[in-house]
Amino acid sequence: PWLVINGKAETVNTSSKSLTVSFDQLIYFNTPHQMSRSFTRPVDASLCRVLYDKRDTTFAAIQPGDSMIIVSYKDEAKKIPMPRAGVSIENQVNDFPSPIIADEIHIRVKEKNKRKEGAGKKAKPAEEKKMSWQEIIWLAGKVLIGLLIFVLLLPVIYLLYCLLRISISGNTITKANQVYRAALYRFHMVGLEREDETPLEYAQHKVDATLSAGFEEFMRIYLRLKYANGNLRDGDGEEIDRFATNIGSSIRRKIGIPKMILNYLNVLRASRYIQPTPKADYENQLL
Amino acid sequence: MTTNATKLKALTENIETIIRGKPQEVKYVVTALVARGHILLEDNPGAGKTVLAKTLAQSISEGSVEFQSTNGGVAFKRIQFTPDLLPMDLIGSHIFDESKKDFVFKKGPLFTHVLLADEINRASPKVQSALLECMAENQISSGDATFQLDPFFFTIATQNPIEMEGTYPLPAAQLDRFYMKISFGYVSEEVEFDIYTNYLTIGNGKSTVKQVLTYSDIIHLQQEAENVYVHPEIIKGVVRLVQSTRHHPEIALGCSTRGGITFIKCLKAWALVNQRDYVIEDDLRSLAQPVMHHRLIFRNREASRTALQQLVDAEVNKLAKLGIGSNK
Repeated sequence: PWLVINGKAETVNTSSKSLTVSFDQLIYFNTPHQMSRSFTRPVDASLCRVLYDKRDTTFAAIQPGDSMIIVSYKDEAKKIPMPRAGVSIENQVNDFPSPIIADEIHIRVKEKNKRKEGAGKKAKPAEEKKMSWQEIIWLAGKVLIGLLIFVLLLPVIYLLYCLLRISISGNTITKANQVYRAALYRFHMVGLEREDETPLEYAQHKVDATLSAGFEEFMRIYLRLKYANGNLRDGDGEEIDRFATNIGSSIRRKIGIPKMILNYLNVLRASRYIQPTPKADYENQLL
Repeated sequence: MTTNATKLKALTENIETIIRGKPQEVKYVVTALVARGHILLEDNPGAGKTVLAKTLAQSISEGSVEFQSTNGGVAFKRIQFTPDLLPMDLIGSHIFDESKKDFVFKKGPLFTHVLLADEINRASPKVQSALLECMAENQISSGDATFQLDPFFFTIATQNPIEMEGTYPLPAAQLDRFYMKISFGYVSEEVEFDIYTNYLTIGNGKSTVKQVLTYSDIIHLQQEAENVYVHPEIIKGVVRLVQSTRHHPEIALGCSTRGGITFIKCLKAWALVNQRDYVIEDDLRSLAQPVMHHRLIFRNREASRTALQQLVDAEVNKLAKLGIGSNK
């Protein structure tokens, strides 16, 4: 190269791919020079290769303020001024072509980014080193307590999910389905667990016998909607709504609020509700 | 529900005024009647089998039921089966008519509406076969003549579970012809106290049982039972139940396809007896034992008590878990 400039971009014009560079260091025909003052010169980068951190990039990557090395190779078309003996470099710079045609621009890696990356790599091990055993145990304890609270709240969360599904159910049939599932769960959590009974037997012999919740009447409507070949009858919707509203009050009346709350902390009971029915011995033998 | 179906409730209530403490068993008998089937009662003497059959006939008849009624009622006959009974004692025989100078057919006691075949297992297999053929085909063949039995023809057969010496237990193929087999059993202490206290009233009531249905009501109800809706999931449940009896390791002989069809017919009739025009999962549980148990051959006594119940519980549980709108 006839010229290598170590400078800083002052202005950048991406449309014409030109920029102005201020510099006070350069290598002119293989002779490095440190100048007594800074110069600003226009640079034409329209045919130039731009690199950042040794990788090719585009001219658009150059930002005003970026430090860079600008290289211009010898070329007869460039009208390169030859060095003159006995003339200071400052005076010779004034003879350089304007704009200076650049062949390569090496953008210097920004110091800030370097520092950030470096700081990140070092900070992590420093933090890990700082955690003591007590802190680890405390953290693990907090996680465990959080998990425990979450598990204890699961029955309530499931109840809220059931109630939400009732409230967003669009038509009476869907509502009957959701009310049925919510009712089975709520009565189960009260301690009235359904065993081998059919839901109707369960309603007659366990739920209504204990809570007088009107579950049997609801079940008769539900079974009709489930198995009969007909539409809803007048009053079915009201009966379903009435039962859905009365479940809570009938449980509160017979069981009491404190016991009801305690029941919902019984995770094992809740798990018995959702666990699949175990296969009978004969079914296993068939497998 | 139709008026006829409502009358079925009146029929069961009417029978229960005489047959105390057995509402479920009374419903089974009425179900077998409505399903156009026959029922086998396995019970000790003195449990009320004859009274039940007679009360049922009286509830559908006005006045005496000993002979065919002419006023829209039904006739009742009872045959005590013994080892020396002959088929002609049941179906009748050709006798010489002096006035016509020809043999005429004298109808036997099978030409009735409600027949009580008492201790059916005491008669020889050929007599049993004669009866069971009538039950299956609803007709009697004697010589070159074939006589059609009344469409109402309903048999209540009984057999004694004790004193098995000298009896001819019904083979599985013949048991299959009975829609249901139930055990009447003894009544509870409270009911027995009630019976002892009021035996005079009950005894007098037997002769004055009021008619609550007519012959044509029953025929209409039998047709109505055919129209009871059975949801596809219930039918699938019956199919699975029948299939599982064939694969259960404790069951040597599973339920036949005829048994499955009978089960569906009984489910429909049971629903109607319970004032419904659709079948629910509870009906499967109520009827599985009386309809299916006698069709199966179990490998041991323990299995006969538990195997079918296991299958029914599993099937009912599956149905209970289905939501509304499954495969409708």
